[in-house]
Amino acid sequence: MKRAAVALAGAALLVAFAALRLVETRPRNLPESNPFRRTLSPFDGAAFALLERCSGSIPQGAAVAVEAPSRRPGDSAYCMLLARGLLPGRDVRVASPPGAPDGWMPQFLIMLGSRQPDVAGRLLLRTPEGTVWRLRE
Amino acid sequence: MREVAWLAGWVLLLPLLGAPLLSHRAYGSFSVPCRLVLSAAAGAVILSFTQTLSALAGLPWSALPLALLTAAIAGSLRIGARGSATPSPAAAEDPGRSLAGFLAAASIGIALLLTAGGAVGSSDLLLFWGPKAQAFASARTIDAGFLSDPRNAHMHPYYPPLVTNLFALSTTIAGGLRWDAATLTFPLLLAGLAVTLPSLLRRAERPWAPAAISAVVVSALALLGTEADVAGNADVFLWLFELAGMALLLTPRPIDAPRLLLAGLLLAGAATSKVEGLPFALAAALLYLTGQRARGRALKPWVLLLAPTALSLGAWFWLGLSRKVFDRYGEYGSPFDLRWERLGLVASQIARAFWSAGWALPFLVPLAVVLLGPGGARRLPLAVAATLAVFLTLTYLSPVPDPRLWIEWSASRTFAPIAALLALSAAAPDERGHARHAIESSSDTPEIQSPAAKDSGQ
Repeated sequence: MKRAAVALAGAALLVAFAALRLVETRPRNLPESNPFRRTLSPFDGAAFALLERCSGSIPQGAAVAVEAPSRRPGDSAYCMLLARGLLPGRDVRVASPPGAPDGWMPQFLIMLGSRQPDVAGRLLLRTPEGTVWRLRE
Repeated sequence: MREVAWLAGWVLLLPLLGAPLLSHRAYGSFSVPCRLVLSAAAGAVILSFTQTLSALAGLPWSALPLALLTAAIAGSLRIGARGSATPSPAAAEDPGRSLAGFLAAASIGIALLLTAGGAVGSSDLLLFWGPKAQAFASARTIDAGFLSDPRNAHMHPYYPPLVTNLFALSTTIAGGLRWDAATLTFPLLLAGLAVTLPSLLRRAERPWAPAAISAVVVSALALLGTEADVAGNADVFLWLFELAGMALLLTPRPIDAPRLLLAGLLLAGAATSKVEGLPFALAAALLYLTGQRARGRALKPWVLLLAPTALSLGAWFWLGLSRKVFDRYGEYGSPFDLRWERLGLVASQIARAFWSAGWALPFLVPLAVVLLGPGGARRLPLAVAATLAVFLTLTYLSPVPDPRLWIEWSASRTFAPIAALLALSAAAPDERGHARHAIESSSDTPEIQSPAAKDSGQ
């Protein structure tokens, strides 16, 4: 039994450290059904909640722009990649000012966080995680 | 209800698909739960292969024909499994078995609670595993158009297909991708590993505390998995295939044909789960066979161990080439482009990633078991671990603009099999170490000796 003691003591230590994660409190005001509601990534849970809810309101083939809560370009690019995964069949890109050189005009704008859009649009959905706007009919 | 349907395929369908092979009497020495998990693992590898073949042939996926074809292939593999069966040694005595079982169960319970609590969902599931599975399920095939769309370049179109194929089929069966069910594959596969390893290690050559070693492996992977948010990504698949395959290769020499074939299927599972599964499979097969003098000269062991990987990845690359989607593991660049001047930076970032994943304990505890446990270590798992460590380090030396963030979020999980391999190396020490261990134990309190040691009069 002495020989297994090293391994068992080590395993017990690992279990104890894993259990520490259980008592961590990372409260997020996201639905219980959201499998990403307490992950380390700051955007995954919120993006999942908002994009899952709005997916029925945005038709296939629609042009969709995405903005992150911050104005850091990397954050918006990451949220755009999440949106591409969760909104299959839509043309999802990072939001850019109207009349941007590429001439691409989004029909919908998804804004994570509580910022207001810089462009006029009709509010389609508001959740604690963000808003969804119809920019042009 | 859809969650149940999504997972039902994993729990009910996959073991059935592999059963025609695993019902072979050569596998009868494994425990029933172990056999079920190995059956599911073999079924998953063959199912993914048939899905890839169907995509190559332009036939849309349909659950029933795919299942029948998979079971037929599994049944036909029994012919390849013919050969002289090596009698299994009696199961080794297993000190601390109850406590080890409790610790493994506690690790799985914690992983389950954290997964169900939404704390360990993988970003990669949202970014590419899930979207690719949805696209494949929608197209009812491997959607080459989706993979070759430049806007989906971040989804790594060349990543091997097993996880995406299985997720896609579950999505088809359940009528949609259940993200929460996909994350539950983490505790589910961890539980699969926990019931498989002790049974395989008890039949290993000169086993030492199989249940305790299995508990170390499972608890280390549970901690790494929860720290690195792996729920729903391919790492846990890789862990199951790699470690079960390695545990099979620790069985008595010479390993009989059925076990070599099963090990070959598990190595193919590793190679088709993640890119780094290929160097693992090659290293494990080459190091095992070249270490067996008689075996290394015969052709059949090579075929049994490597043909499943060659066929599975061959079909995948054939598809990539014929559809002009990919022709190699593209993002890995040329070995001539490695940024050697970053070696210090990469090493320090890897160490930092280990530290942030449970203060490096998932790596230090297996290392301590090797160093402090009696009887030394088995060379095969150590050599494979070293090969994998070199491959991963070279990967991080790729000419990316800045590897720090990449290493930060991936190193602890990509190096996780190395921690587990360290522990496995202590589970079945080599002959010299074992002899020393037996001599030491003879002057100790009455200790448990393995049947192999008893047979050899040690």
